[in-house]
Amino acid sequence: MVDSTASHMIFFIAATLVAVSASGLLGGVVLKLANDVDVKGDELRESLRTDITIINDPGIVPTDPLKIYVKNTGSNTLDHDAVSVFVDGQFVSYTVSLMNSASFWRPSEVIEIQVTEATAAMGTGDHQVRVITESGRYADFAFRI
Amino acid sequence: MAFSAAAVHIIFAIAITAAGAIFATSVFNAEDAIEGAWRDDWDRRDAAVHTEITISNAIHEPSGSTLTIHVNNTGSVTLDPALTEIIVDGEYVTAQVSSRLVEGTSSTVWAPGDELVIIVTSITTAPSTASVITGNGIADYWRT
Repeated sequence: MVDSTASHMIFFIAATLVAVSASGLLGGVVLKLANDVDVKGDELRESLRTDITIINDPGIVPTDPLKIYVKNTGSNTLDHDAVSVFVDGQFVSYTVSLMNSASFWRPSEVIEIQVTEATAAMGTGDHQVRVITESGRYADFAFRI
Repeated sequence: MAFSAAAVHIIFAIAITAAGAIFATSVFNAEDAIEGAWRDDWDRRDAAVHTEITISNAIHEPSGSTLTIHVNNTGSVTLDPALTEIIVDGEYVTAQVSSRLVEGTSSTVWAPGDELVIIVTSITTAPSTASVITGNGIADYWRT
C-alpha cells in the first residue's frame, strides 16, 4: 500500500513538472509571437501613416548643389536625418535642413536635401531622384537639366 | 494515476487558455491599429484625388520686389492656405511669403471656387517659373 502511494506521488510530481515545463515553453513561444505581431503591426501602421512628396518644380531644379525639397504629406512626424537619397539609382550622401525654422519634420513641414556628391556626375539630360523614409515609403521625382 | 492525468489536463487547459488570450489580445490590438492607419491613408489619398489648384496669374512688381500669385481652388476639397508652399525659379521661397488672402481676407479656409492671393517678397528679378503646392502635395505650375 505504501509502495503504491509512493509511486503515485512520484508519477504525480513527474507529470506535474512535465506539464508545467511544457506550459512554460508554450507560454514563452506565444509571448514571443505576440510581441512579434505587435512589432510588425506598429511597423505597418507607421508605414501607412507615412507619406512624402517631392515638391520641386520640374521645370527648374537647382543643381549647384542639387536641392530636393520634400514635404511631409503623411500624418506622423518623421526623422529627417533617417532618409535615404538615390540619384539616378546611386545612393548619395547629402546634408538636410528643416525649412521655416521647424524643429521637427512634422506633417506639412518641408525639408531641403542638398546633394553635393551627385552634382559633378550630373550632366544634361534626364535624371531621377528617389527619397526613402525610415519606414520604407518613398517619393520619386524625374527632371531634365 | 487518474489524479495525475487530471492535474496535467488542468495545467494544460490553463496554459492554453492564457496563451490564447495573450495572442488574441495582441492580434486584435495590432489589427485595430492597422485598420486606423488604413483609414487615415485612404482619407489622405481620397483628399489628394479631389484636390486641384490652378494658378491664374503671377505678377512681378520690380519696384517692391514682390511676386503676387493668384491661385484658384479648382478641386472639391477645402484647403488650408497656411500649408501652401511656394517655389520660384526652382528655389523654395515659402519663408518669404508676406500674405495669403482668400477672397481678400486672411482665412484658414480656402474653399473650392475661392481665389487665394499670395504675395512673395524679396523677388528682385522677374521669375520665369513659379509653383504653388498644397498641404497634401498637389501642385500647379506657372510659366512666363
